[in-house]
Amino acid sequence: MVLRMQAVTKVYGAGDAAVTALDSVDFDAQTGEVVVVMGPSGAGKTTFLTIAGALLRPTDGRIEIAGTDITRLREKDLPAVRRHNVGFIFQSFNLLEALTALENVRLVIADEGTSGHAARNRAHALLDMLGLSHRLKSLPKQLSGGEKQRVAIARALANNPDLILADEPTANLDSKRGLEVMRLLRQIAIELDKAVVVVSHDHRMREVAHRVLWLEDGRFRSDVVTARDPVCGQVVEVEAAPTASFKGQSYYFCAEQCLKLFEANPHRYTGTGS
Amino acid sequence: MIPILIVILVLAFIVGLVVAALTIYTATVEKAREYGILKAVGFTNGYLYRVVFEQSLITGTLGFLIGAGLTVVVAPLTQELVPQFVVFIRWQDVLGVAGFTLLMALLAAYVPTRRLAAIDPVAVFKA
Repeated sequence: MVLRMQAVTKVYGAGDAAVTALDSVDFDAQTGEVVVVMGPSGAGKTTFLTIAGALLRPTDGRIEIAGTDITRLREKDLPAVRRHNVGFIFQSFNLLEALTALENVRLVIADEGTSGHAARNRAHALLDMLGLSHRLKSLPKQLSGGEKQRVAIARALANNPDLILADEPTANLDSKRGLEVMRLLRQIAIELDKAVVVVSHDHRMREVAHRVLWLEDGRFRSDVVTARDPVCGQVVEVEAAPTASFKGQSYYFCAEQCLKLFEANPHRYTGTGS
Repeated sequence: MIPILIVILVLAFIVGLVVAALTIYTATVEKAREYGILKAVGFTNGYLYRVVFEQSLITGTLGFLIGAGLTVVVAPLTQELVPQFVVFIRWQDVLGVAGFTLLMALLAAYVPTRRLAAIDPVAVFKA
């Protein structure tokens, strides 16, 4: 098991102001699988991901990454866990703007005791594998969103971690690039034998997921019926979502704003033509 | 009685130090998100301190070289224009200024270390 979380709780604040972001959560991820965690905004998804990635300490519970109980480690030992065992992919790519694509990937390897030449070759090979061999010397501002995310994926793979954690990896991409990234993540899980955990609102992530979990109010729920918001594409919980009916069918929305857009022009979002 | 030149030198050192410290501090604050990214992907505070110290030393060295070069170029012109103003460049003074510049760069780089330590890598998850 690459990632094991047992009874993990995270409480922000104290006393009357205390907010429980994660409430005794159990979670496992193993190599070769893509696990997608969905849920409404404020459900605790980012807290879950940052705790799983050794960026944030839980209030209670136990977390193992690649067999190491990170809850027992000292604060100063956590960066090494992130460096060696976890690869992060962010919604806003988070590349260093002053560095080229190659340098962004190489930088992560360079401090690993690897020689500069070997680090460069590995960064080159990863970018090549992700179809970016013609973009090695491009700065992030010269890359498209999809290319930036592929550079970020190469950086996440740079130190060959077993665990890849992705936070809304398709949120800033158009549908075509988003689909490419999703397929890439599945390919990485299966072919490179990684555990890929994705936090997402994007309903299309279901297509590439081996497991989909619903996180709400800090807990995983198995009894949730979900639907896709026809306006923005987010996955929403049917029970709690604003609803509209059109031609005998029910539609569910993430927020009133999407509901209003739908009501203004339902044909547009149902593909029925006006 | 303290010679006026010593007073000027001490003031120059203090002013230089404050300017260098503010420059390095501002540069660090401006790049806070990038330092946060580095922390998130596993770089230690120690590594980031080293980056800031290196930046400070490189900037200080460049500043010294440019300043020393300008002094050598401008000194004869100054003497020609104002003969009463005697400029006498001694190698031990040049070395002394180089040493003080280095000291300024090191002290200036120490200023943003607490700010660096306080950068929360979780913040980079915000879009």
